[in-house]
Amino acid sequence: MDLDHYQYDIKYSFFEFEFISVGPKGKVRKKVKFLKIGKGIYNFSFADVDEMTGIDNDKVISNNGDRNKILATLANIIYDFTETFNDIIIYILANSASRSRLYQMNISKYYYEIEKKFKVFGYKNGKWQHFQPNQQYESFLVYRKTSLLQLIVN
Amino acid sequence: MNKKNKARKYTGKIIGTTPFGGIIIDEPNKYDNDPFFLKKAAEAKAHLEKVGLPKELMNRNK
Repeated sequence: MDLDHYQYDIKYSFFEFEFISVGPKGKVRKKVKFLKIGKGIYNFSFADVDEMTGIDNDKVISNNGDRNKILATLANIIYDFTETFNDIIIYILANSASRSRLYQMNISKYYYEIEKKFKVFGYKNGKWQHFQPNQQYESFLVYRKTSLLQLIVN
Repeated sequence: MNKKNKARKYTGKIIGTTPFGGIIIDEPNKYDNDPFFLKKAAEAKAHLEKVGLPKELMNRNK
């Protein structure tokens, strides 16, 4: 997907990413961390950094006028992460119903592109299902589809 | 690399770029023991243990 996004820094381990959101409210540092929570499963966490206190916050809505650009950057980070670790499952648990809805809306918006490379599951009403656009989910699981080329190489 | 990136200060050396807009920095992880991320991971782990994996992924993950 070629959407407007921020450039981001990646630690050489490919488990930590940072970028700066720029908008009417100034610059807001954002950081993303993938932490292992199970065999081959990594949690995706995303937070704003308060530069005055150094405290991370994922509840704040920065209203910096760049929501779509931030979401596109997060999508690119997931592309990069899974390009490096293509066998890993990413678990995304939103911190609120509104954040979950935001993720769901954006996955839905670009699902045609996303499903070419990823399998996405959503958890709803006590069960997992293959992601369906315009459904609201509690959490998400994402993993990269194995390419034909990888199957041949392996 | 554009001028904006050149103006950014990095403590580590830039060792590469990615096709999606990433700049790879020769720096170790900073947040492995960050309480915020550890708390988020613990919450996610507890949630995942409660809900389990989809059947399709259980087999994949054996």
